[in-house]
Amino acid sequence: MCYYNAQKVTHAEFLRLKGIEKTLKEHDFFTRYVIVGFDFGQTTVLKPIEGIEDFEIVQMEWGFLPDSLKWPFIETREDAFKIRRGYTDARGKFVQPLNFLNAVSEELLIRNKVYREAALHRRCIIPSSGFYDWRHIFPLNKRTGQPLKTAVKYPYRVMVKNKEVFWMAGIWQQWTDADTGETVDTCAVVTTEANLVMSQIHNSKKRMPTMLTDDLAWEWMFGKLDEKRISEIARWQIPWQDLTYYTLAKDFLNSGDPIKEVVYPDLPPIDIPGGESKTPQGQMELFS
Amino acid sequence: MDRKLFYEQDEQFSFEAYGVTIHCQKLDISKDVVYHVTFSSNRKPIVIARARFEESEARWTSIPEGRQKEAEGLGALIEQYLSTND
Repeated sequence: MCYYNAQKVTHAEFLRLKGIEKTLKEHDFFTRYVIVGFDFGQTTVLKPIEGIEDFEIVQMEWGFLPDSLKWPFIETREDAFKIRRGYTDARGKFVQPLNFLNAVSEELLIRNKVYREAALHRRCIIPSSGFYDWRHIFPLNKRTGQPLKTAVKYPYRVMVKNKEVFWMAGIWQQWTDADTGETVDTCAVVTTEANLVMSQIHNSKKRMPTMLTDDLAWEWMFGKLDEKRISEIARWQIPWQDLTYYTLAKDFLNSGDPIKEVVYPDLPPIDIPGGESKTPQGQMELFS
Repeated sequence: MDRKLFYEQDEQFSFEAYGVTIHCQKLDISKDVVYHVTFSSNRKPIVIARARFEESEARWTSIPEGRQKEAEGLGALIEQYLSTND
């Protein structure tokens, strides 16, 4: 006899429930619409198998934790929490958080930087059915006509046209907690300069994930790449014409249906040649 | 990679309970009934399934383990919704 959720079940029933559990774990990516980077949770990653042109589909912690012997010397979970959230040091000064969620392509291969070894030897692909960024609009002061200092933030969901799942360049690093011996694989999404569309959506930073074609994704994972080619692929910009997007509810992260389109009549359209043309909501959905 | 875990749109439904919108989606991972449930509140999503416990009739349970009471409560709400909307 076995127990599941503290309830007595037969061996057969226990195995059935564990089987469902295993399937859910393997497909965790598909059961969640929204993975919030700042949660430092698990995300699905295509991890190349060494020596052959094949990959495993694994879960990794999103938020790269560098080798603990290198700066910023994250040795324990407590260190990781402090570094990721920021902390007040012994002199009372607040040390800004370092989340390592995104690896800036232009800095990827700089010597002694945290991402270099991973970019050279541990490249991976992070599949996505859509990602989220906020467009900052500064309303005009009705009296002075000048932009207000505080922006109104509109969330967008961005996808690749005609792709249920698309590929983002990533790098990964195994990290071990010195306190517990726990070993985890952690990853970061490589980012590049925003294209015409993304520079208007993510207009505060003008960056975007490095979204790769099938061929480039394959090369990123399995190619014997020199530094020049790694840098070229890492900086690759998907053409703006290949993107599709729509706006979401401002509180979409807490919504029962976080990917539902919400239209803001006063929001200026994205300025692209020929005018804004959008894919109707739902057309690109993974599960439609 | 291309396996669809979710059934089609018509296997999704939402309803209100206790001031919260509850969105349920049937999962295609078992011959039995399994739902992925999300909430308009900050409550974490949950997966629930029917399980055949030894000392009672089949009941709802959370997968993975740990949220049995929530699973039973949500299961009852889902049954109520389906019985009045079928």
